[in-house]
Amino acid sequence: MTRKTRYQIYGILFQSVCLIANFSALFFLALVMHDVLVDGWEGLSFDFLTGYPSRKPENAGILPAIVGTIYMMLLTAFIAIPTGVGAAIFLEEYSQKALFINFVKLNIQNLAGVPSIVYGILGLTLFVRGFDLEIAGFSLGMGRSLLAGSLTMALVILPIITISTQEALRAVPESFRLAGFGIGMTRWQVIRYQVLPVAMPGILTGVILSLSRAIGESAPLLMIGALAFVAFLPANPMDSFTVLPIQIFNWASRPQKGFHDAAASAIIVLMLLLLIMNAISIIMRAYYNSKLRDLKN
Amino acid sequence: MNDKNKNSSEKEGRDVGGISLASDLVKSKEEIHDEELKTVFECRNVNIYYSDFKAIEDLDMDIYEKKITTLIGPSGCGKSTFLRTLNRMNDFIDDFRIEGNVLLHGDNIFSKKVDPVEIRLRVGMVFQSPNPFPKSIFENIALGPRINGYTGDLDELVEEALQKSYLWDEVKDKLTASAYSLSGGQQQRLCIARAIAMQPEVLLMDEPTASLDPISTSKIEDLLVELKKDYSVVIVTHNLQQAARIGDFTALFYQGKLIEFSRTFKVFTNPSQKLTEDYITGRFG
Amino acid sequence: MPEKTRNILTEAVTSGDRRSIFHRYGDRPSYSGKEKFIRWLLASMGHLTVMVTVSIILVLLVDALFFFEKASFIEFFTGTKWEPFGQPKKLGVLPLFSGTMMIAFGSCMVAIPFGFGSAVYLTQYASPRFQALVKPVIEVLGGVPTVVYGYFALTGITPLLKVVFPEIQVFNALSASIVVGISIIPMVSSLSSDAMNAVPNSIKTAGYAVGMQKFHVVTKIIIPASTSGVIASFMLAFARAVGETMTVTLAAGSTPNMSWNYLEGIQTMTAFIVQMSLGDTPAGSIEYYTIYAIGLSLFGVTFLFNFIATTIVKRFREVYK
Repeated sequence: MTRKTRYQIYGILFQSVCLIANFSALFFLALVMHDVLVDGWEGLSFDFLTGYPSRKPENAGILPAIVGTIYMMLLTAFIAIPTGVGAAIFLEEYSQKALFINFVKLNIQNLAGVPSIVYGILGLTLFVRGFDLEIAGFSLGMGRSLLAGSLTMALVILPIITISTQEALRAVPESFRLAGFGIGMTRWQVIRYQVLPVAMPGILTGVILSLSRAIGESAPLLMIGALAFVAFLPANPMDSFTVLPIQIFNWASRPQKGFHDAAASAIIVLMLLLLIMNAISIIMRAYYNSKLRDLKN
Repeated sequence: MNDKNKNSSEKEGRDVGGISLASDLVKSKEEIHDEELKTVFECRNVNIYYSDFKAIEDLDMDIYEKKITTLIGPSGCGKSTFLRTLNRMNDFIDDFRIEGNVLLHGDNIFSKKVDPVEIRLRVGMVFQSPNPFPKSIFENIALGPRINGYTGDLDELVEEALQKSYLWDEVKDKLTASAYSLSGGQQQRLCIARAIAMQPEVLLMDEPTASLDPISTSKIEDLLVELKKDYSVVIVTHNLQQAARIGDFTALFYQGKLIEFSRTFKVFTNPSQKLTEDYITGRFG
Repeated sequence: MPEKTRNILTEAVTSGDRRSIFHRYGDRPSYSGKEKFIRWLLASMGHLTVMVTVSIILVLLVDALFFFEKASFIEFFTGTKWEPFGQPKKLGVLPLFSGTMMIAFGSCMVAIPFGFGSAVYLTQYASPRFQALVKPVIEVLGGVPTVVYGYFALTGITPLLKVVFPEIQVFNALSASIVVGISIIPMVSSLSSDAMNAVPNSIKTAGYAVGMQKFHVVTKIIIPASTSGVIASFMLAFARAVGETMTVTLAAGSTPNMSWNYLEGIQTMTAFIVQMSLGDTPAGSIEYYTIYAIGLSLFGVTFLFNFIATTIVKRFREVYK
């Protein structure tokens, strides 16, 4: 066979291998889903969703976990979103002293790569224990509370929010800003009236994605001490709490199959929650892309 | 407003290098010599640097009030740099440095006490590619005045600005439509309307018709000649015919230096510098 | 146009008092209280991010110092036994480190081929429709919480592996490595895709123009041209695997050893931290401070890889402009 034909065959083989790689990814996902669904589908009942954890796997319920997850997500969002978006606006729009700005940007990129359990250690020492410091007999720490957990989670997702907001801001064409400055707008006016409205869908997409990360992360909360046997719903940010991933972890670590199945059921609930958030972000991204297309004429 | 398209042989005019001149420039000889000119910008000993690169060297020039001043020259000669300095848009470039004085009606615009934002309220700018805000036509014009606390009636202001930009008839029924629904030429007129709604003293234009078709271009040129009744206009243009058509004064820049500055008529028919004549006749650039 | 007695558009100029028309003129808006406050607020948020890094480093360093006061520095970094609860205590980190490395390497063996292959197909061969369908699915794969992967490794993969390797233990490194690898595929795929998409079209068309077949254009032009970005993506994936916690805690076990036998249980640095924090160790004891020593080592390793990866991209990025 000619060299050309040989290369053509290599080409087809190579392409097929890469195609298989793609399908494998889909295959793995299907495998995981299948495993979880098979084990957990039957356990999904009204009692399961509204009950409390118990010593017996048949009576297990995940209401505190669901409620805890939602509370934690809201509190984390409240802390992390303004901070992350604000930091990104500062870095992208108020650029002076390039050296310092670059240092901060590099720093944020590194933070994004820090394992979440390290944030857990930070949260444990700083928020839960308050460095074991006391003022007038009151501990500076917050204990194993919802607040401590949310603060820690906020730190985990802060770099992600900042980076994705930065990208959304960078995507705004410079001509908008120049137009605003050209008619005598101040920097904040340009940001508020030109840049933010255009970048908002992109920012929201990043926010939703980072929140879905927050829901799924369990390592930091393990360190904080989100307990898995919580028999009540947290009433204020200083209460102890639990979240879905922790509950799953706890049940999966037990040897009994009953608990494994309960874990699988809880996983289904968690995945459903994540699917909803993912769908919202995909819709936002489509909206964002169509809006950008309009702007580029 | 179309009499400038009349055959130039009907008026006293001359062709230089194939460019025919606007007839009203040749209109009255007295105008050229005796007219009282007031200055709006005075530039003295201006040197502009981008880090070590000298973009403008030893510039001494006046911009006259209620006239159209065209800045011409080959690419990279500094004319756009000079234009952007007049409203301190160069401040956004990191290594920008200026020496010398730029006075706007006697006020040094680079003094520390001056807020560049307020300079830009007095000196408006229209850019090469139309860049309307991603908002409705009405909002594009109303936003700036509203932010600055306009005390009059916004609806009236918007209508006036659109009338003056020859855009009102085309958009009066769709003021709430997105600015992007307009054609390129219309968008540029919208940008002009937006600029004049801020009631500037001077209008700076950086090659405003470069991205437009000839019909839109001529509409905008007519518009500019009307606008100079109320505003001083400074235009950077690559199009020599455009400079000759609408300019009252023309400045030729080359490699950062001002080569020649005088009445357009004189620059195009009887330039005092050889460089000018070479550029006009197309020997370089 | 009807003649107006009043020219609205020049009132601000002709009246001589701009402020009467625009009543906020003259306030020096860039220096107003509001502008300055907003700038200060945003700047402090920017600085906060630096504070986070500083706190992490501080907390880890200071408390790790407490550890090294009581334990031997040399033994920690060179000792081959990790028994913090035994008598006498053995505090050599190498078993935990080797456990982490086993998982990291093992998972990269899975993630890199699949992730890179998927990236090549998606950027070079796939139709836009294919991309639009497959990319979201891959992203979902990356969005699955690690605790779910841990469950999957324990209840899904290990039984399967038992068919092939009957002597495999319930907790083993192989199952965890495979699953961590699966969880990292999306990251490798997306970062490598970015690197290959950054290759300008002109270089591609040049290849075709000299008569190269697609196979060669891809393998001899595009892939080499995106080397720095692709290598960086591998390093970032490795760092991510090092930091992986939940999957290894659930599936890889809690028995530190250095046998490098994938069929046995091991313990990674991350899994140990979890184990320690779940237990009832009194604060202030040396066992408690092991968390910080291990945490510091973990931070050091991941920081190193992340730093090298970003530096590679910066310094060796083939400059195309």
